[in-house]
This record gives sequence, structure tokens and C-alpha cells, in this order.
Amino acid sequence: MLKYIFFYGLGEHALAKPWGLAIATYLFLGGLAGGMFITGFAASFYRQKSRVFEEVSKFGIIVSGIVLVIGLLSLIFDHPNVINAVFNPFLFSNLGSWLAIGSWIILFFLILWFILVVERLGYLKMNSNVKTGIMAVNAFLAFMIILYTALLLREARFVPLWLSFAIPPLFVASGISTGIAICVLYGIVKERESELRLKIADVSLIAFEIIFVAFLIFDISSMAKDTSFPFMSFGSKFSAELILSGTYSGMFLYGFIGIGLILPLILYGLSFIRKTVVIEALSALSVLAGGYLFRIVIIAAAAKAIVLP
Amino acid sequence: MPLKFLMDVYNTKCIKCKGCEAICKNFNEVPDGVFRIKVVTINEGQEGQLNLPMPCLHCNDPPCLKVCPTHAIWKRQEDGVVLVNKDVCIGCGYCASACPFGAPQFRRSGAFGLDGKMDKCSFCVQPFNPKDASGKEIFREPKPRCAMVCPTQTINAGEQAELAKTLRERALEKMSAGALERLFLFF
Repeated sequence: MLKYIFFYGLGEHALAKPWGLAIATYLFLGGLAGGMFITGFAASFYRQKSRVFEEVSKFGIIVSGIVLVIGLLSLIFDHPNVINAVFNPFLFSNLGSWLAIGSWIILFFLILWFILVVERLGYLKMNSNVKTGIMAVNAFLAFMIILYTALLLREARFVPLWLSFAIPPLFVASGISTGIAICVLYGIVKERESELRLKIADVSLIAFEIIFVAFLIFDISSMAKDTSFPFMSFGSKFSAELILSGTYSGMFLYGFIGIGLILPLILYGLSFIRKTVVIEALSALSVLAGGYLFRIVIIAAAAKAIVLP
Repeated sequence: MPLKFLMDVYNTKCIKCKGCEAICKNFNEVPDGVFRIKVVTINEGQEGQLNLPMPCLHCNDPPCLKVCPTHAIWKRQEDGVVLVNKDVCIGCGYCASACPFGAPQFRRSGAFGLDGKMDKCSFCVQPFNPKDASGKEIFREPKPRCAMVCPTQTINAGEQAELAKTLRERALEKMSAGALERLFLFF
């Protein structure tokens, strides 16, 4: 039963084949892992200044790879034949496809991540400049992983919701924001305090997301009117209806925009006035929930809007 | 010369007998839950209802081929038929998202997951990539059964130039009736 819910969703929220909740989970965890590594890398520059940054840096860098592997397992569990490509990565030979490009980026990211983890555990001695260099390269790969999760969708050119120009910036902002949120949460659990810089970064990204959500709604609505390809305009209209007034409107408006964007903005605002770790933890949790709901809505509303079988 | 399907919905000819689906399943031994051709109904029960048989249209520039990460989808040089190499396909489902016509199909097993590799219309070239004992590819003449069996000739298949010629003739016939806009041609 649990497997059924995970892959097909519940009742009205059933996701259309062949991409469902498992893919949404993969995209979310991919973005989260990228965001965690970038946060960990950025925090490593301040680790002398505060104990929180030290812990966040360690957590972000070490756990990001594990989160990414969990995301990959979700993908493989839904699409078992993908395991063939894990054993033989050279199957990904079409470097014009974002799925192949992304897979190579993930492979190189995981190799560098493994080297960094081995060094952290003390089994490998490394010059600090070399280490910073590897971390910088991996931070770039982490950014590319987040971007790839969006470009992967954009390449499917007949799915109107995924074709919007708002999708890549939204995915990047949301990925880094969720990465920061989980690091803030870890800092609170571990050190019972949070860092102002992390909160400011997260608030800025949430504000950026709000702008691009507005652009997404405008873009999808205009596509519904303007396209000359009838299936495209019909699909756009259907997608817009699904996220604004239909099946996924609750998830999009209350879940993503309400819980994922507005609520953390208010809570972070409150925490600037009165510093309470509970409020900060709640805002970080709501960012994570919003990020996951966003991926679900983007996959589900697009899949449901495809006209033909 | 590239081979193509032409769906003649000019006179809303399709009567949704699903003979194309049946012969395709039978001839190609298509597994359960997979439709290499499916009759789609638009505006069902309303004025302007349209039945539209949808196989793979073997596009000139197939989007499924572009996005396939493993080069499993290929276009045969001799006749332009789009085929899939099941030895290389990893069943990621990316082609299904890229195709606007829903041609790539995936079988699901049990309550969850995709158990198989991509399956699609092969223009009745059987099997997908036939090879002789030495492993060399054999060329098979494509003969789409759906077009052969269609009682109302809604589905037409053949060379692109021939189909275009037929279409032009029909268009000229009906231009005076002002019904050109009802003509659908999928390449």
C-alpha cells in the first residue's frame, strides 16, 4: 500500500505515468543535495568565526552525497532498468541530452565528494589549497546538479508547464534555499543557535522565488492564449487551471506559496525581531516542505496536462 | 524516401472500431498495458467529436531521439522509420515526456514501477533491429498492419511524397467547399 501511495499518489492526486512521485522526490533530493554542498562550502570560509558554521560546513559537505544517493535510489526503484547505466555509465553516450549530461555531472560530483569525505574522516592527507580547490569544483558541480534538475524538464519541449523560463531560476533558488534550510535546522539541533548570514541568504532566495513564481503564473497563462500549436495552448490552459484552481491548486497555493514561501518569510522576520530557535526551526521546516511540494506540483500538473495518451 | 503515417480525419472517418489497436497487438505481440497505436477521442459526446488513431508518426526530427540519453532510439537511414534498440534502452521514460503524441510506451508491473524498456510503433518492422547469425543487421520491408486493416482508410501509410500528393489532391477537391481547415496532416 505504501509503495502504491509513493508511486501513484492518493486518489485525485494520482500522478500520470511514466514520471510520478518518485521522480519528484529525486528532483527534490537532487536540489537539496546541491544546496547542502553549496551551503557547506560557503560556511567553510567562516568556520573559524563560529561553531555553527563549523558544524554546518561539516554537515553540508558530508551529508549532501548521502542525500543525492537516496534520491538516485528513489529513481532506480521506480525505473529499475536505470541500474544498467549505474554499472555501465558509458551507456550515457548522448551528450546532447540533459539526462546524460546530468548523470555525468552527478558521477563526477560523487567522486569528488567521496574524496572529500575520506579526507574528513582522516584517511587521506591533503594540502588545504588542493582541498579548497576540490571543494570549489564540487560546489560548481552541485550548482549544475540543481540546474540540471530544471533543464531536464525544460528539454521536454511539448510540456507547456516545463517550458516556462521561470522553471530554471525557481529550481536553482529553491534547491539552494532548501539546502540552507536543512543546514540552519542542523545548526539549531546541534548548537542550539543559528547564524544571521544563513538566514539572510535564505530570506533573499525566498524573495527571489516569489518573483519567479509570479512570472511562472504569468508565463503559463500567456502561453495558454498565444501559442499557435493548439495542443500546446490547450495544455498550458489545463496546467494553469490545475495549479491555480484545479486538483493541485491546494498544493501549489497553500502548500508551496503559503507554507513554502510566505510562512518562512514571516517566521524568519519574526526571528529577526525576537531570536527564538523554535521559530527558526519551524521556518526551515516549512521551506523544506514547500520545496518538496513544488516539485510534486510541477511534475504532476504537467503530466496531467498532456493531452494525448 | 521517408515513410510516414497520414491520419485522414478530413471527414471524421474514424469510427473507433479499434481494429488498428487489435491487429497491432496481435501482429506485434504487444504486451498488456502498452499501445503502439491508440484511438484518442477529443470532445467525446459533444459536437465536433473527433476520433484520432495515434501511432508513432516517425517524425523527421524526432524529439524522443534527441533526448534519449543512451542513443537507444534511432532513425533507420533507408526509410526513416524510428526504432528503439532495447538492448541499450534503460527505461528512464524521458522519451515519453518529450514526445507530443504519446508514442513511447512503458509497461508497468504490479502496483508500482516500470518493469520494462520503451516500446513503440515500429511501422511493423519485426523485430526492432533484426540481425542475422553473424550479427549483421537485416533490412525488413515495413508494412504497417493498422493501415492495411483500417476499414475507413483513416490511417494511410507510405512514402512521404506519395502521401503529400494524395493530400494535395484531396485538398484541391474540397477547397471549393471551404473545408480545408478541417484537414489534419501529421508528419
